[in-house]
Amino acid sequence: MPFKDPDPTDPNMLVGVMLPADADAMRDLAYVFAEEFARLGYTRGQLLWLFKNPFYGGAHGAYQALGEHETLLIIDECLAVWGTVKITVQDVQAVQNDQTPTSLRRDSGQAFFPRVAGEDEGGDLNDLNDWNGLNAREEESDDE
Amino acid sequence: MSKVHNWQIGREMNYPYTQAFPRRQFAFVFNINRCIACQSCTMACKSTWTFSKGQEHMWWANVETKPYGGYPQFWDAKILNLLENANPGNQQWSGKPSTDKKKPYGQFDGKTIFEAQNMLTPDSARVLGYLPTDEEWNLPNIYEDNPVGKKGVRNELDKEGTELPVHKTWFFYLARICNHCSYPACLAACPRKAIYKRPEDGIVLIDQERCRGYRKCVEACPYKKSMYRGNTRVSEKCVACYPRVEGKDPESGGQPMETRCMAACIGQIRMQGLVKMNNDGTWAEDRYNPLYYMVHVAKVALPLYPQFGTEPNGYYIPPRWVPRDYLRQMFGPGVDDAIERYTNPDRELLAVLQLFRRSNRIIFRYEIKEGPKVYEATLRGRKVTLYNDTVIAYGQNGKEIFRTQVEEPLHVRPNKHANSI
Repeated sequence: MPFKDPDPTDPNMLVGVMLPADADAMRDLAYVFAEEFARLGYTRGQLLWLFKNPFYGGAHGAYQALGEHETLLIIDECLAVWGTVKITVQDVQAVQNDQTPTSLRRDSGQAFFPRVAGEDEGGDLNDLNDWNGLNAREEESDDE
Repeated sequence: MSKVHNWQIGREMNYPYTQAFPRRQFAFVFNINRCIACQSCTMACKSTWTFSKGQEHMWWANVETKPYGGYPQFWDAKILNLLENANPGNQQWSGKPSTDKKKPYGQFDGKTIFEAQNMLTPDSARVLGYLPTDEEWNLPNIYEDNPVGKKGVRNELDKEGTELPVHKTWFFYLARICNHCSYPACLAACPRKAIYKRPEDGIVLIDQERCRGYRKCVEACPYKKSMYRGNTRVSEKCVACYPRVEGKDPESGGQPMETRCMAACIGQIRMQGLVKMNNDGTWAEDRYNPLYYMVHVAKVALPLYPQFGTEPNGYYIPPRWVPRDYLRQMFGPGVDDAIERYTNPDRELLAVLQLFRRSNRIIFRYEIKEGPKVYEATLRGRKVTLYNDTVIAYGQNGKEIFRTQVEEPLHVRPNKHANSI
């Protein structure tokens, strides 16, 4: 917690001050977010949700500056390059039986997506948690 | 004053001592595109070296949020301002980045901190600098990503909960340690000659027996990585974890090992090494040393504020989303080429970037075994081709440390153990 409030007249205190970045910088920012998350396996819908979500300040700022149409063009372009990732999830038993390392695979393996292809619009945080197995613990404890 | 050659600014410059160079130089590359400011490096250093009474304000390794953060506060804005006042309007670069190893980034025509005599006080001072106030040292990440309480209410968090402030600006995280400069300002300024640069690895140390705590080094270091300890009345600084670099850590098996801050980096942004030096202070050709490759061949890693003139040995892969004017001021004229190459990496660079943080041992050489083409596509009008090459790292003794592939395995925890803590 700050000891004292920022002095708005102090030029060194830039907290909450808009620092202008040109359109090119915002475009670069959008490409960085789209590429990084596409490489993590995000779908088109999940990527757009990320850009629309104010929680992701950088991505959302770029979305506001560029508009939805241009953001979608960037998302599609990045997905065409990096969006072929399929993540294979293997459970403990399966790993013990199968020595093939759990790995990032592009063309084979048991692809596990929150939604099947063609139904990828409008993914949300719960989808991502399902995907990462983060919602599973609650279900397990209910069983007990 | 002697004349010494500073290859980072592409010219001769004044320095209080004649030039002398170590056999190898401690150097590092930080890829700040990857830094998430988790502060693991900060705490690894703190818990190893600065946990004692009198060291509370010391963070030899720190991560600050740029452009508005800094430890001590405003350190770079203040020294840049002092230099601008010493040489108004003339702190400029000329020429262009080239393959000339004596001036790879062109030439800096302004004044370094050793050349701004008109601003020195007292006249006997050797280096332009300033002493940060206690308040500037005390709060290393103030006003950065911390939650704040209600406006006007001191020392109390908001009881009803509050949201983090929305950043209406670009920003990035700058991880910093001592740069173990080739022309250290701390060493130049010390009236006791208590600071020395080791001939075997270029690590800059303060002799605690000789130091009398005049704080000239604290004043002179433009990166503010020399710090005064009140209860012992001597100054201290990053020691580059020299027992590890020497291979004396029990875990190292006698082989040079990277520092604590490097080893703790979960973002895998850090690589540290020992580069071979020529007699003239340039890096000796060592084509398959990963640091040499990134700094002198691919030129994706650039020195931090080279215009200060200390020839820092910390290099940064600049963040690709930040406005270029800011980056050019921070990393010099090589920024545009560095970002271009990092954004569109060639086959070798992609493989070398995989070497970060696969081991704690210092890598002295790498080798690439070509793998199959995985796919190709087009991004922003450029063809992207990915090969799943294998890159092999070798240590000082020539033995393999590890091998890894361009297509990084992604391990997912099984549902039953989503969080094992």
